[in-house]
Amino acid sequence: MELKIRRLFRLHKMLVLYSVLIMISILFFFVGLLPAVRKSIAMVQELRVTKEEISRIQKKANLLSSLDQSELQKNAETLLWAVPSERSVPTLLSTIEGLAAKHDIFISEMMIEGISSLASNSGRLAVKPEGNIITETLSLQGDLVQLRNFLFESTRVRRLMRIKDLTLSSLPKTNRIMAQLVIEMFYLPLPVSIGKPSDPLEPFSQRELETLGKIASFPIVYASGGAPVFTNSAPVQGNVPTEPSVLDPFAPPKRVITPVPSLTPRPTPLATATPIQSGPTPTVRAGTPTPRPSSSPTPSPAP
Amino acid sequence: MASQNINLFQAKTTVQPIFSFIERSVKIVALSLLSVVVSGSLMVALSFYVFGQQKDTMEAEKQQFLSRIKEYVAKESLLVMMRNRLVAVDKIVATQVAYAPYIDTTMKIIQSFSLTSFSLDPKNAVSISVSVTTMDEAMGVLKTLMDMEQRKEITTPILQSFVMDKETIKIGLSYFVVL
Repeated sequence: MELKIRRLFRLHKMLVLYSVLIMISILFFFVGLLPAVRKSIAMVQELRVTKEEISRIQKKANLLSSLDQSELQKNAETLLWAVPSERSVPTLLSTIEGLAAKHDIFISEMMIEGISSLASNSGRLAVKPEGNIITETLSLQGDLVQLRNFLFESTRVRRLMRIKDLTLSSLPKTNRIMAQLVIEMFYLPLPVSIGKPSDPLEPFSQRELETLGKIASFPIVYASGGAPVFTNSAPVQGNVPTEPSVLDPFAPPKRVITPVPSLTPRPTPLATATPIQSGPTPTVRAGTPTPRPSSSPTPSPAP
Repeated sequence: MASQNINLFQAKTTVQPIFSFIERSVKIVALSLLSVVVSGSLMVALSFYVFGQQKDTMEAEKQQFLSRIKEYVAKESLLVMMRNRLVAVDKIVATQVAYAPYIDTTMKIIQSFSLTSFSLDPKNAVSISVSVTTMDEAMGVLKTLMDMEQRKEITTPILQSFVMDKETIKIGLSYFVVL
């Protein structure tokens, strides 16, 4: 038997050699060459991805270098006025008071809901696309034209608000009307991170620029004595106080001009003389009507 | 006398023709496969070299741009913050209700008479109550309402209530304002 095998090997030596070569080639093809080809294809794809990424990063770097930081900062301040990063209750109250004063409207009642604490809230994430909401219930008194103008302008001030509910009723024995409003005001915490450097960054779209321009055209309104320390070149309506008003709970004991923060500007409220206390029921009431300066009530334009 | 070969070992080995054919075929297959494997290996090695070089170059370029971006981190954070806010602002502005047109329409209807109440329901139906002193004035208010409906300034005007006492007449109306 052994002899027969030896004889067969001797007779078909080349056949055996080639068969072994085929086996080794097939083995090498599947074990070595095929994975290497696959890796090579993956490298090509990786290169393509890297190329796209570089193009994106280059575009982003070019975009960032072309932007004017001071212009950006000014626009950011504008937006922070419209939707602050914190609740900013003083600017909220000041805006409402300023609007009411402008149209010679009497605030008979004011209640703010959703204030559990006056502490910084910048770390809290927004739950709605428009940001977090502070609800304010207001009772106003004035004639119909004044109230109409108040409502008209309330959607055109830089601290953005939304009137959720409105009821008008006449006051007995007068020609004045009482308006009961539920106003929503917004704040949006600053973003926690700006993402990876390789994340794409697009320039502002036409729509975004239009929105920005629209917001920039809205005036900042504040009540007399409640002038914000944060100033910029925005049109400002309201009587700029020369002396602090003792009647205003948010009037500072001494007026201090604070420089504009460099990176994250925000409509910093004035230091409150009488801090609003936070309790288990998160409401603030301003039951006493606020006296209005009789010096320069803005004449109500005809509707 | 003829010579007789008495050697039992064969001097030459003979292979059957079929084995010869198989051997030739196997040889061709083996050499073909070997050439494929060798040339493939060479090509893959070459591609590894070329792509590796390209990758190194690209990585260097990428790092250069990334370091440029890191210089502008302040601008980027402002841009991200603004974009974030613009989304919110867009949403707020889109959902703001302009009450002024509703009050303008109401002022046209009530003319100089006393408005007792005004409300706007979620479907934007305005409900008002007007107080007048004479029937002529009441008719005037209703006529104005109908005229405005004709001019398509309002739709679906409804007389909700009409209460007359000794001194005044209270008219309850509802309508939709055409914006």
